[in-house]
Amino acid sequence: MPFNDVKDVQKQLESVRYIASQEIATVVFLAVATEKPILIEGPAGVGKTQLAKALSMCLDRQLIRLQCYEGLDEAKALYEWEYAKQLLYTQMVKDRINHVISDARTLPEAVDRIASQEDAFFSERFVQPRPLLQAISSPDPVVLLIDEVDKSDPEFEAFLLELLSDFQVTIPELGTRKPLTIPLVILTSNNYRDMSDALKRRCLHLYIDYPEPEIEMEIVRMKLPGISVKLVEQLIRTITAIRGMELRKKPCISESIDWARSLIALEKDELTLPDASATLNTVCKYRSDLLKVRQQLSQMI
Amino acid sequence: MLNSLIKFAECCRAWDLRVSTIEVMDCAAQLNLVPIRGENDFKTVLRANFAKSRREQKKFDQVYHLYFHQRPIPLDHDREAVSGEIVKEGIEKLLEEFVNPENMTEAQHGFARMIQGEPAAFLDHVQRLQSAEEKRQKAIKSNLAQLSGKLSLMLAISQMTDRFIDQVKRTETDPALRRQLIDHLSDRAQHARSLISREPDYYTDMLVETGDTQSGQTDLATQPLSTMDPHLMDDMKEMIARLVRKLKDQMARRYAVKNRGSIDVKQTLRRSAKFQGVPIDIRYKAREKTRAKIVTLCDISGSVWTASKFMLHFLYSLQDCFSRVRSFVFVSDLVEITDLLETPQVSGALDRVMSNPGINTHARTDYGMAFQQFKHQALRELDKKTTVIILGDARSNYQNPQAGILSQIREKVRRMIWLNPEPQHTWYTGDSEIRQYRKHCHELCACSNLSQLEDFIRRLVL
Ligand SMILES: Nc1ncnc2c1ncn2[C@@H]1O[C@H](COP(=O)(O)OP(=O)(O)OP(=O)(O)O)[C@@H](O)[C@H]1O
Ligand SMILES: [Mg+2]
Repeated sequence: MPFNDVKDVQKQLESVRYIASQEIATVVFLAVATEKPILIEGPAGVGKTQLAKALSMCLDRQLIRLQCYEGLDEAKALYEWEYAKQLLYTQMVKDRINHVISDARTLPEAVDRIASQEDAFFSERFVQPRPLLQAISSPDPVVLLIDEVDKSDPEFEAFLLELLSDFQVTIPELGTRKPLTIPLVILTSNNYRDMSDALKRRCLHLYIDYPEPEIEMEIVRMKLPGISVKLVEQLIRTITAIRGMELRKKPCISESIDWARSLIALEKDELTLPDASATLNTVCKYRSDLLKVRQQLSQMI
Repeated sequence: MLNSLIKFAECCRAWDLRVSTIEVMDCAAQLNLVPIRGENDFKTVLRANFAKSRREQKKFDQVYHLYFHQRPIPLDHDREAVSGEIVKEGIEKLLEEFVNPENMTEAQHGFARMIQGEPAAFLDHVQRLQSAEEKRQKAIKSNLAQLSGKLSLMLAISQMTDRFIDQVKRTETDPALRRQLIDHLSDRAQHARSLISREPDYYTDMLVETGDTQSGQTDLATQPLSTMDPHLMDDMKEMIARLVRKLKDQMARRYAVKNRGSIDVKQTLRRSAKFQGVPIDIRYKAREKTRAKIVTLCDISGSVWTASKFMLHFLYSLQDCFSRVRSFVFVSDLVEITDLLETPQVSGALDRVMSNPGINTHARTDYGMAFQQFKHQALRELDKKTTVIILGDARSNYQNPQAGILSQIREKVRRMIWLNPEPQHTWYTGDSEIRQYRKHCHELCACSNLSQLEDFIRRLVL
């Protein structure tokens, strides 16, 4: 077992600079222990992708990432059969083929002889593995990140479901491929559409919300070790208040970090109204949000 | 533990969460894997297995609270407290004396079971009541069917609770036990009432909401559609035509780049004949453009009509970007106008919509009824490639909003989008039901002017 217990998950994630809440750590622990995929939802920028990266680092496993989009198909996700290469090889070994069948007396016999060489025509060498095949053919277990699975088409989801049920795939030219190792699978979704019940049934679900202020302070302090205690506290308190407003885009963790960074660059160790107002564009990406927040800023600092 | 989980799962199902047996078993096994140091750990494990989307977590939280926090837990320092077992016995005795299963209504039976700590039947009853449809009434329209169902259920609960409490007061001599029994009964009654009075709820944090954007300039694109001057209509149409051309250009460019699909073996082999069978010239299949089906439901009453008209005009001008566009309009009754609009002269056809005999412009807008009719006419033809676009202000004259129907539609389709033509600061006021309806949408957008409409259409096609 890679993790001893839930505490151990937290500790090991922290060693690769990811601060996990008790809930995140518990679900991760269960997923690893039971070899179940995790389906993660949450607002943009709360560290969904980062969690997969951090896990691959602390488990010392390769991270294989499949970014989903509309029109993603098996050829891009699983494997591509290299017809061109196969055809070229066939051409190049034409003479050998003639040799193999040269003393065949009848046509069926010739066909039989070729058939006995079938392995040469249908072999691994013509398979170009894509992320999903890579993930189950790796001799060492990997972390497989299927990012933004909600952007994929329903057909692709159905195919994914099959893969996630036993991790084996069928390649028509080669037959069924059993997994060498079971990957730790992380799926992320931004709720562009709903996933099917069948897919959800296979997974453990985790909703990552904006972090509790204490955790977010810890994240900022970890990324920017020199920052003053007072500044972090004021900043996170203000960010939390901003998130409570109706905005087009709420600030996420990277924005907290960016904001802190720009205030440090200005050599500030506390947050004043004029400084906050002047640097607010690192927090609000839309002009309409910026104006709205600026109006209320004096009450939030 | 397993037994308790199974009963909890039953309650979840009664409250319309899909929980399978495998999930219950998995969950039980997982509880043995992690140390449960506090309630949060316990709840985390259950939630990861029983609620599989943020949206559903709200229902999970409701059932969880109902099931695992049933009894007012006696505090440790409360010396008079009587053990849970004795309270339970007291309850059993009470029910035995009063409840005769033969002549109990379903509601009474459900509530009695809930008092005993088995809320599944009651949840199921309420759930069915919430999703019951309104009957179509000719003369006076009302939303009384659901309301009266809820009222009689409330009444049954009050009567039963009063009777039990009365009985406890008369017969129970131990003051501590008496107090706890009464507490328990009132607590359950209160829970039951709150389940009935609240609509089934969903978290909406994952909803994409695009509200008003304050842009300094004022021009045709930012003029409110609802107060559009008739003499500006031609300018507007001109402008839409320009936007449509621009969008089509952008699409063509994007499509050209992404278009290359997998290798076309047949073609490649055919070409190879030219080179003594050597496949030098590799041919690719053009990738099938994934095209969405669109179904629109437009409110055409009063000031909303202008926005609906422009949205349909826009959409039909881009019709070849979609595999099919079906359109319905309603005031209170729903009418399909797909055939009418399938002509090159959309703009003219739109002007004729209002004279459709099925449309009674004097009726009061009734969203619930329109959704109900839509469900019966079109639900079967919806699929996971369909995007449903509803345009309206959600002002339904205080009639039953029947929001549950939207949830049923959502389950069938790929995406559900609501366009609201009102300025955002009025969305949640008066008779607007948008707060109920938004819970079932993937996206809620303001479309009070052309510029917002354009933003939306751009996101839809690109
Ligand atoms: N718990 C955390 N500990 C440390 N850093 C974090 C944590 N959560 C988020 N971050 C920081 O926030 C940044 C954004 O996270 P990430 O890109 O993973 O978000 P996301 O949820 O995948 O967003 P999107 O939905 O946009 O894909 C990361 O680069 C990381 O620096
Ligand atoms: Mg991400």
